[in-house]
Amino acid sequence: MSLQEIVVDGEETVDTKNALTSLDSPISLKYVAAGRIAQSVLSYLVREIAQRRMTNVYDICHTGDSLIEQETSKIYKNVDEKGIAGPTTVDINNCVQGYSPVNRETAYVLSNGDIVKISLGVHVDGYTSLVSHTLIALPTIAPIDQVAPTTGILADDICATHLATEAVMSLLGTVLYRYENPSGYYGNRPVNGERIRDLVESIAKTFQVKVVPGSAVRRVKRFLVGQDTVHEVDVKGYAWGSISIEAMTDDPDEGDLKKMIDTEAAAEPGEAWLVDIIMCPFSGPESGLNKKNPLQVSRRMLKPHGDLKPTIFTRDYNRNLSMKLKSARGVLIEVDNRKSVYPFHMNNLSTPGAPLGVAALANADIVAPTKVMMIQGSPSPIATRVRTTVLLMPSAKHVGEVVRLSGGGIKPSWVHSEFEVTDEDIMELLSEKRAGVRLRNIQGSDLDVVRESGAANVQEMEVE
Amino acid sequence: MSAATLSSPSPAVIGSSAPANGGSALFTCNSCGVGFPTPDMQRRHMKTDWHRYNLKRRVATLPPISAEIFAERVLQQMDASRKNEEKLLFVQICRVCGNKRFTSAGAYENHLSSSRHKDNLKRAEQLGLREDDDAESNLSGVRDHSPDWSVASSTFSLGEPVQPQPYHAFGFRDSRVGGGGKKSLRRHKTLSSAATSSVAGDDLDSVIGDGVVLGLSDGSGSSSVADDHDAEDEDEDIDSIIARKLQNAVKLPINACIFCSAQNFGGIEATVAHMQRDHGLFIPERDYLVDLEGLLTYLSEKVSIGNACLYCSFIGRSLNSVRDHMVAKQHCKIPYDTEDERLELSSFYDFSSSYPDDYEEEDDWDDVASEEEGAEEDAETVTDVSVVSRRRAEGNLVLDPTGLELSLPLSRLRIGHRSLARYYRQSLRPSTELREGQGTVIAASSRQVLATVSRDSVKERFTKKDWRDQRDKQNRDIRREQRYINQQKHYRDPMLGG
Repeated sequence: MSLQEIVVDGEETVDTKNALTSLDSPISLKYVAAGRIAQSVLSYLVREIAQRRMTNVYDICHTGDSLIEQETSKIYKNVDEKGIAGPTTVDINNCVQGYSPVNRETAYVLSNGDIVKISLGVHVDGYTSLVSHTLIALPTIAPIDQVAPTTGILADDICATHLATEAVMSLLGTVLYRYENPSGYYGNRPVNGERIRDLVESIAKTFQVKVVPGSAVRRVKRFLVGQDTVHEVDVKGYAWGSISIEAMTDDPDEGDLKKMIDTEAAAEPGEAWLVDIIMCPFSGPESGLNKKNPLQVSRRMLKPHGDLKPTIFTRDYNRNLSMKLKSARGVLIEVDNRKSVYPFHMNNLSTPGAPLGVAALANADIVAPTKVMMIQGSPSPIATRVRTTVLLMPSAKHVGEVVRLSGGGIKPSWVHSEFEVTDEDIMELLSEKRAGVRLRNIQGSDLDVVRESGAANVQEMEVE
Repeated sequence: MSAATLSSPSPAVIGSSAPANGGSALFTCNSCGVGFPTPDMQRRHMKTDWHRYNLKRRVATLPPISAEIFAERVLQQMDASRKNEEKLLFVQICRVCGNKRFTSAGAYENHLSSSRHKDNLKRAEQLGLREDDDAESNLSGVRDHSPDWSVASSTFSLGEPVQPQPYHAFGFRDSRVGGGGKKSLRRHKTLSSAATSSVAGDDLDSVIGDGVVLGLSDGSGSSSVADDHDAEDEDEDIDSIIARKLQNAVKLPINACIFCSAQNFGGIEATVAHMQRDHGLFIPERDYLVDLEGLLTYLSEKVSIGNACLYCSFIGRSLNSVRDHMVAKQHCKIPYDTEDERLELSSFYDFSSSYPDDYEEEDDWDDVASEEEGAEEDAETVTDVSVVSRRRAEGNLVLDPTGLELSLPLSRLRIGHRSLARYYRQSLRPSTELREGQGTVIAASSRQVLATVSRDSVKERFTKKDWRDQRDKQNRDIRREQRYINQQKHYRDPMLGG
């Protein structure tokens, strides 16, 4: 008994940096600050893209990164580590991750009907808000509601991704009133990785889409949001394989993240969770599916792009070598001192000869590249992605609430799917009442003023 | 009795001082060299102290003494014992110096003239006390004179707490040390009581330390001791050895060297200097030594009377033999390693000044400079070090477990040993402190997964190399084949024409 107490004490001391007690606590405020910046930048970029003001991917990525740097420099002046937790990437159509071109000339220009997946991340003192959003680049500048909805497999995919994210957020939120309403369906069962997996895959099944490796619903901690170079153990949640870790076995679906993810552990109030859902309407042969899980695409279907070289890298702090190349040493020092443990973009390095140095570091495995991964298969493969970070915020007075740090309130493209969710439990999660879970979306501030005048215009946090 | 027996030389003529009637006596005493006309007289003689004494002398191969001399010596001894007893009963307590007890007049006088006593006195006067008060309150009276102190040493309680008093195997103690002999007797009851009681008789020959005197301090005790002797015949071997040693003992003067025959030095210091220089005698803890004379006396008696080596358990036959032993074996040193050895000498020392509350500010600690190399960058270190006073430093100084590095509390400097100077001169890049994120990531990362990944990438690299090698080999083979494609003996290139 005393041993248990000691262990509990130890966990508490370790987790003081990750325990969320109330929305006013310093940790929560940092999370919210990061989330608001991410939300602001994302909504700004979405608006620019939707209104066709920005079509060059380089512009989008560059603007996103600049805005994040600019906004994070205004807050928490005494905090050293803050800024980009994930460089802005714009992944088009069947690209799943990692496209952020280095120069404007060769960059992709959006065309009509492209599926655009914007991903970015902001962190303040290690408290991270990652966000991804999928939208369809439409041919007109007209308001969205005047255009007919998109239908077909693309609509199914977008619906599935979007609804899966919402359902998972609601499911996670049920842990907040678990003890108050133990008799309800969601009140007396722990929310663990297995339940999350069942929920996501049943939605995917409903919409006849597949889950793409790289999807994950997992707990995140300070500085630890599932970077490729960090191999955590006993992470709560579920991960549908990994994109980055290349298996050397014959079956690439073997030996992935399974052993790092603890699918039995239940979510608890006071935790931060990352919901990252990537889905694709796979229509290829059956060999393209995961042998063990037919609702998941095999990782064989994910291939790095033939021409596009990785531009985003993550420092691997478990590897230290002294480099011969001067630019490599310079880059290493700059990364160690100025970049944090998060991925960084080559263009954000100020060292002369940075591309050469980064290549040398990548050769030596000191930095790990985030490859531009494309999904193969059907004649015109596509993938959609929705990612958000939520806080399971307990409350002393009443039932706690789920705080969606970013991505909330941005309407998805207008799509119409012919499929419909019929499961009552899932319906309850997706309904207006959300099975009794209160959801709070962090609203972004208007960045237009910032772009024009450079002056800060920090608004009060709005509550939906 | 046969005639042959009668014709043998009569024992009565052995002693030169044989009684007049010895010649015609039929009943003789071989030990005393006397004869008696009747067996009854002889038997009575056997019970006298005189006879016992001569018996002991005989065992020690000493000539017997006459009854007159014996009587004289008894009187002398009683006189001496009374003096010694008075000396023993001397008790002085110095109130000024924390109720310190002095059991000998010499020690008390020494104490009165010591600087420590004067300092304390000065301090006491400032506090309003007078020395007169102390003198009046001094307990110069009679010490508790219980029968326990008499020869009946068997009543000494064994259960008494062991006091840190030195004990010597022979019980020889200088009386000035102050009751040391008595206490040593108490501690080692069995041995010392045997020694005391048995030596008592022989002790009449010479004036010995108080350990022996105690045995005769009670007038009636001597006879009772004597009665015990019938039962302690087996002890007579030891007794006789002790007695012989006592008799052969050469009392070394205080200004004589313990280890050689050099004598008549100018003073104690000169003697000590000689022994230190020529024999390598080192007196431990010299700063806390308060009774140098007592220490030297104790050592010299140990050597001269006990004929015992100072350093090992060797016991020589004579003073010269033990001196030869000590010089040859380089045993001219005082053992001071174990607890017992320190306790043996502790009465000559006073460590109270080393206690923390009595601590006095000492000089600056400036000899560290010699520890450092004279390198330029060290100059700053040295000046900083000398500022740190020893007292201040002792509180927070931290010595490296290896003993080669000393951390100073004030300046955060570290002083290294000169043997590592070549490493300290290196200008290494300071170890970078991990940022919070890096630390978190490294702590959370499981190396196991990483290891498999990196090992596989190496394997992959090797596989690529194999492919390259195989391709190169194929190319080489092709080139070689092409070289020998043309098999014609006199080949002319048609392009060159006719």
